[in-house]
Amino acid sequence: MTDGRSWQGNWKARLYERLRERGYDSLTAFAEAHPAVPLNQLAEELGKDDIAGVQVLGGLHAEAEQRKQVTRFVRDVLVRELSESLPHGWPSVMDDESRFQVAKALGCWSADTPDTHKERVKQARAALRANPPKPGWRPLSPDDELLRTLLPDEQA
Amino acid sequence: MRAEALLLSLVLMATGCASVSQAPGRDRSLSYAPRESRSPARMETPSDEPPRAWNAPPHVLSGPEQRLLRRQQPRDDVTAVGDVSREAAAGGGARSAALTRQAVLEATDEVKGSLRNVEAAFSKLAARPPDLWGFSLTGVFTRYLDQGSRQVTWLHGALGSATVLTDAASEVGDTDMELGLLRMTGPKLQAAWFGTLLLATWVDFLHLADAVLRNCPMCSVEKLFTDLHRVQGMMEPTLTDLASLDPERVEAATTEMPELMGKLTREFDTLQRETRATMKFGGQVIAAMQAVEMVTMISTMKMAMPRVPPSAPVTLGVGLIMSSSGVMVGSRMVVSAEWVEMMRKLVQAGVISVPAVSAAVLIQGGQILMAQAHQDLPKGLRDALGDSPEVRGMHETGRARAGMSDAPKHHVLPQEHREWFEQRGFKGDLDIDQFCVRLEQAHHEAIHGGGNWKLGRTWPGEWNRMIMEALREAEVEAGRMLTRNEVLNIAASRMRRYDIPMRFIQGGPR
Repeated sequence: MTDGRSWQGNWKARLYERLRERGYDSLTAFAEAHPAVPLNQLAEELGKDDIAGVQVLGGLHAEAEQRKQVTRFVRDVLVRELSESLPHGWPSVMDDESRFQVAKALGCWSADTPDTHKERVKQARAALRANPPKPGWRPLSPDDELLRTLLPDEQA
Repeated sequence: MRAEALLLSLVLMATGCASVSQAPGRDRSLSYAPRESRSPARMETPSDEPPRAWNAPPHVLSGPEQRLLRRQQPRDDVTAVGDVSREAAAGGGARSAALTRQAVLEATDEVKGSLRNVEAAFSKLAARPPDLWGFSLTGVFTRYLDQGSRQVTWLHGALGSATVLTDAASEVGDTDMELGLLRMTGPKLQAAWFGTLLLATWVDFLHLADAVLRNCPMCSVEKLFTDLHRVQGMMEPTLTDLASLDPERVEAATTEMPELMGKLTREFDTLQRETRATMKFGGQVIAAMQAVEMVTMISTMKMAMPRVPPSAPVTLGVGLIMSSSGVMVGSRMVVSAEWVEMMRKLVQAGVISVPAVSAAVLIQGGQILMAQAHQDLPKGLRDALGDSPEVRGMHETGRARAGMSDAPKHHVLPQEHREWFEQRGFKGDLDIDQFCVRLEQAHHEAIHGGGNWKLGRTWPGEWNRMIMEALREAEVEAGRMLTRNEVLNIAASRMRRYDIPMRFIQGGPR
């Protein structure tokens, strides 16, 4: 049960201290070492009761901006969202329940996307609706082929 | 007294044998004797109590007994999963949520049963024809009957809300949210539980008044009227607090209940003794006196009666003890182990507070005369309930969260979009005002943007905007309106993401 302790004290310092304890010098490195692990679970790895998923999300975004890899970060967010809502991959039968799980994952993806990328994510979602992936599709990293087609990195 | 009721609800009512249900049949005092044989448990016990009053108690015990039988089978099973439900409190298992839901349903059913008995008693009292001399509990006394009926209305409403919430909990498909919804039933359930208890006590007074009117021509009707008026006045503030369904007021009223029940028990005893004295003075026949005394025996307050008036601070010597079969006072069983188990589930999940259970047990145990409203439970029982600061903290009004009680309330589902949520079923007992949380300032600022990495620039962490976008875009994906349960399911996952506790309280429109 979450009890709001994540927001007490200097949580940014706490977050980076936990990373150092685990031998990582950045959140990005930590996240890459745990591919396709849902964000809330990543947060729990760093602090069961005192780190929130949204803090990890915010930290990853900030680091991605510095590295100029925001698009890759946005793809990574979807990977983690999908692995939480659809752990067995894209549904083979679109019944009410699986349609909801897809909708939830993609809706949350949009909500978690920085303003700079919202429009592109909307287009990517429209493309997904028009051409749904094969049943069982389960991207394991932001480098997934289909994902890179849907949301390619900007040309440098 | 009500202990039973309290037991609530549990005990008493469950079996439909609340004390009040028998009252109407008790005109002939002699008919009581044969019933003794039906209450073996009771007969074994009362070594420390005057035999005359206590060997008769028809049903008090039949409640717990039947319940015991009814629940015997699943008991091991239930006990076995106890640890799971403890974990559930800490965040997990769908199974424990199901067990909590089951406990809420059972508790609701038992309160409903008690309430039915109280209602039946009211109708019977109202319908009783005047006796040969024209006495009955109507005329000027009608207002006292009406008073009871009015309370019944809100009690039904509270129980109805609890049922709606429990149903919603079963369908939401998210364990944390399910527990959050079940916790929302807490204040309603607690209010109905203790409200019914008080009402059953009121029925006892009415029965006594009825017996006095019928059997004691020498007793003053005016005095009786005034006495009832005073008793009603004692109950009124508590009933008002309970009827508010406001968690904090309900909790405060609940913890004061043992003290109030102690006062009421004294009133009852005094009224009865005065009547007896008057009747003796008037040379009333024994049968008539017995008719009046009988009311005491079937009263919900009988548990406490033997200690009235305490010649010595009895409660110091006769404490509550947790044994394998339940909670005992001396050799008398106060509540069963099954009841404790059910309460444990509710306490662990934060549905019912520890102080509320304490109040119920103290009342049931007759430990109410010392006016120690805030007396704590014996350690054995607290252990059985799994009491701990964390558990107390689960309950919104628990002491551990006292520091939060001033923290501002916030709508989880933004009220700027009230209509949008109404269209998706957030109405009545489940309107968005029911889904408020208290957040400390730091937390609030954080989720509304103040503590974010890039305040106000590109980071869309602002809660209201985020949740509405997640919901709206999910509808775009689904190609249809989300259901209420789906909205709650998404809200639950977002709340976890932001580490917002699913401890809902009621807020109001801004």
